[in-house]
Amino acid sequence: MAFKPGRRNILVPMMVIYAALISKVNCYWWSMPYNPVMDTLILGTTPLCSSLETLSVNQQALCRRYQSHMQFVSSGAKTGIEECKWQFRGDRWNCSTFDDNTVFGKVLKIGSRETAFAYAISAAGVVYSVAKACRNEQLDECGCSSARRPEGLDNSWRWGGCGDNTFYAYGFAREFIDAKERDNTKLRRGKDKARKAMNMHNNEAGRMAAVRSATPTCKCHGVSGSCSLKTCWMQIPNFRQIGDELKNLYGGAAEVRSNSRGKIRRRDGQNIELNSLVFLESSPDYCDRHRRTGVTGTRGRECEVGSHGPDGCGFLCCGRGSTPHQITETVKCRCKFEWCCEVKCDTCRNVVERHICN
Amino acid sequence: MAGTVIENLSTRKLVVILLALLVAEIVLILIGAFIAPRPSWAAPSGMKSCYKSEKDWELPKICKEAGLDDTIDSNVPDHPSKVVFTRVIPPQNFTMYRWFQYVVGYLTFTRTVDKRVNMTSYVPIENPEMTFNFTLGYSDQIGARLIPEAWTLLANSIEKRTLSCDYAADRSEYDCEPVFAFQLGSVPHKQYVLNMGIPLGRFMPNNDERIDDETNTQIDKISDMQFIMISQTGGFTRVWLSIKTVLFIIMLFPTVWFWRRVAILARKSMLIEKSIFALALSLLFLNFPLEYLTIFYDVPWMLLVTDIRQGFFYAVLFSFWVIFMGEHLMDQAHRNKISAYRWHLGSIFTASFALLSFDLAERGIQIVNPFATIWTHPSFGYALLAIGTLAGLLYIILLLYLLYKVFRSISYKRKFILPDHRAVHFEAIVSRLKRLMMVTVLTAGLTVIFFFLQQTFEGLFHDFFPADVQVASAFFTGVYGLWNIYVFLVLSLYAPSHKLYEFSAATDENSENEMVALRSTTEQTQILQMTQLKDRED
Repeated sequence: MAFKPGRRNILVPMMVIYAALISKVNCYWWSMPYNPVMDTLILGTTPLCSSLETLSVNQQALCRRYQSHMQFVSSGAKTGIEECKWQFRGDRWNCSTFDDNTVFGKVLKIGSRETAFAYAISAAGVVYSVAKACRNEQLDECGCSSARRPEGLDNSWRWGGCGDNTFYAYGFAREFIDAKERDNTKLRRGKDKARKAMNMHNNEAGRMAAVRSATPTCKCHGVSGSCSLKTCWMQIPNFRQIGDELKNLYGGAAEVRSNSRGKIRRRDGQNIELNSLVFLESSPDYCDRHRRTGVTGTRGRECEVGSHGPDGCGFLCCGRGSTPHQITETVKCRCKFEWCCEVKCDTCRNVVERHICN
Repeated sequence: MAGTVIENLSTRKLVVILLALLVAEIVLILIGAFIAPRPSWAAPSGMKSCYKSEKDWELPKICKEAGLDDTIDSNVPDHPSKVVFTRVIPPQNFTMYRWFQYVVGYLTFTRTVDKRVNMTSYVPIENPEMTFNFTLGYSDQIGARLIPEAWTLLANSIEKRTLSCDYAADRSEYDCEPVFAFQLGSVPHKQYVLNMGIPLGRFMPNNDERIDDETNTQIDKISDMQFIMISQTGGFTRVWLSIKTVLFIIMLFPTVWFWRRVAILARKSMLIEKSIFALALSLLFLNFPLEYLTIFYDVPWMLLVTDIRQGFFYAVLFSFWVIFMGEHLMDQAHRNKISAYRWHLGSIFTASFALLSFDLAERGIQIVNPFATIWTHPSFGYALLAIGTLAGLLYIILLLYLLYKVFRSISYKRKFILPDHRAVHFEAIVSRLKRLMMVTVLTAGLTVIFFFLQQTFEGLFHDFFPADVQVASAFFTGVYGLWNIYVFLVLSLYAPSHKLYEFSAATDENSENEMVALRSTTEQTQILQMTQLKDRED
């Protein structure tokens, strides 16, 4: 380092102040996968954490402490965002992303149901991704699981237990993701305090959805495969199941309001369930493009004519009607399959009719 | 069989014995529940997919990672033959111990349909055949996880497994049952490494490596591979071996005592006494803590021997039931020889033989090839199991028929028998039979109840019990103790009563009818003597 120690001492607080200034405006950690710096991460050449401006101050510190975890935070965020797009592919809000630091666009400023889902699914993605990394021994800090030691070993024998590998991932994700909210200590307005509480709650709901998704799987063995001995373990399913679960929670999300101290309460006075998603404001109108809210509108979206669901043309196009288009699609066909790596396909041209919202 | 202990035992003594055994059983259950850990444990861990290198072994810590999904990963190889899945057992930096007794490995994987496949014309294949190229190595070196040269080949085999999956159309994904990978009957080494290739039949770059045109062409995309290892816990092995040792020593005494009682008799031992003795010997054989060998030597055949010992005990137990019933069948037929039971014993032998063949084909072959399983030839496996089941059913039918005959002859004789000295003898035999049946039904019933309880609670995890109560261990120690107690009861209560020595010595065993008459008189006097003795005591 070219800096002398004395100069560094001044520089660090300056950096902190600078970071604090920008972090107030747009610090969305889940933009990490879209940051070109991530590609160079594995090489370890770039001082990664300071190049990730989207991280809040504490997140920066955690990033430096757990640098090896960052690629899994990044891939987890990506998994979450991809899943969000899939879950909302037929809704008016289709989890559209933008090429900026917020990823989801300005709609996140509104504390709506959709925002709640975006926070939850990104948090769940990190738990999932880190848990998997632990399992695959890609991180030194955690193994296939954390806590439980298989009983029955002599005390002098060391052993890392196995059973629930979401334990470490949950703890890490909690520290890292909530760090962004915890950094916001100087909030004055009750509205901002409420928003902080809402984000923390939804992050937790998302993480817990991932933790809860681990299900016991059992296998019979014993005398020649008879079921005299059955052994069970916890298995994390694929992310789609977590996405489905969160989409259900999205449907049953609770509307909350804040009191003067920034604590959130349900509108109907009942207690907020720990696992449920909460939102503060009603959703904006996703029908039309709106510059201030950042809504892209449903114009140009593809809809299903016969469907009665949210992807039906009547609902999705908000009554503006749809136009059928004859589209010549080039699709992959007659695919020859390899179990990994590559699918070798021919391209076929099909003429299909698509309905596009006016 | 001459008068037995049970007929001459005072109720008070009997109650004391039964209470003592009940306490012993409860102690065994408590040892299982609180001292023993759970019998087995599982460690799920991901298998890393690596690029195949020049080295003999791919190790997860040092290999070059290969992506599996070209829609997500950038480091995807151009051909599946370049991918090797690898995993060091056990996970992290721990080592295996001989006390673990065995390791079973299963694979679970995510089987998805590629997004580029036209879903409208997609026909799901739920049970395709999948081919694996398994290689297993071991190392006792510290730090071997970083040194490919430190590993020695243990076994290598190309294995076919039929997958059992459910297609979830909404996720365009398959949910598959775990696939058996291997089983090791002993764990003498510190670490093991599993390297696994999934060869592909079509599109092979050079034809020499081509295995078969359809190999692994129907399994769609494998995007994630997980390995699950299952072992016995070291603590359970300790508790189990201790229990076996103690029970072996304890059971020696009644066995020797029983045979001395029989040997003292002037007559030759009878078939029923021989069968009881055989039952005791087979239990001693089962109790014998042969597993201590695994702590000092590499004995991969231990699982097979344990299975055989268990099977042998059951075969002798079932034979004992038949002989006991048959010998209490008071018809005029001449018995006391084993040929009278050829049908029953034949069915037991057939069932045992089928199950032994099954075990040899599974465990026996696994001694040579740990990846082998009988279920790659399901028809063979099912045939053996079917033979075993049919012979078992035949045995149950024959046993029930025998039981029916016994009770019919009892009720028949009760009607016509005169209330003379013969009635006393007759009732003695009936009560002897009834008591054994009571104990047998109780023991077998408890075993079945324990089994179902254990299976139910295992699946529910520790929702019902605190984590430090081991239901499965309590089941194993409890049931094991139960059958030891059963044999103990049979040995001690059905031994010839020493109060009859002189009479038996005076008897010649030619005519069964004479015998009955003689014995009943002796028993009558015996009972009289006993009541007198009791009076005197009071």
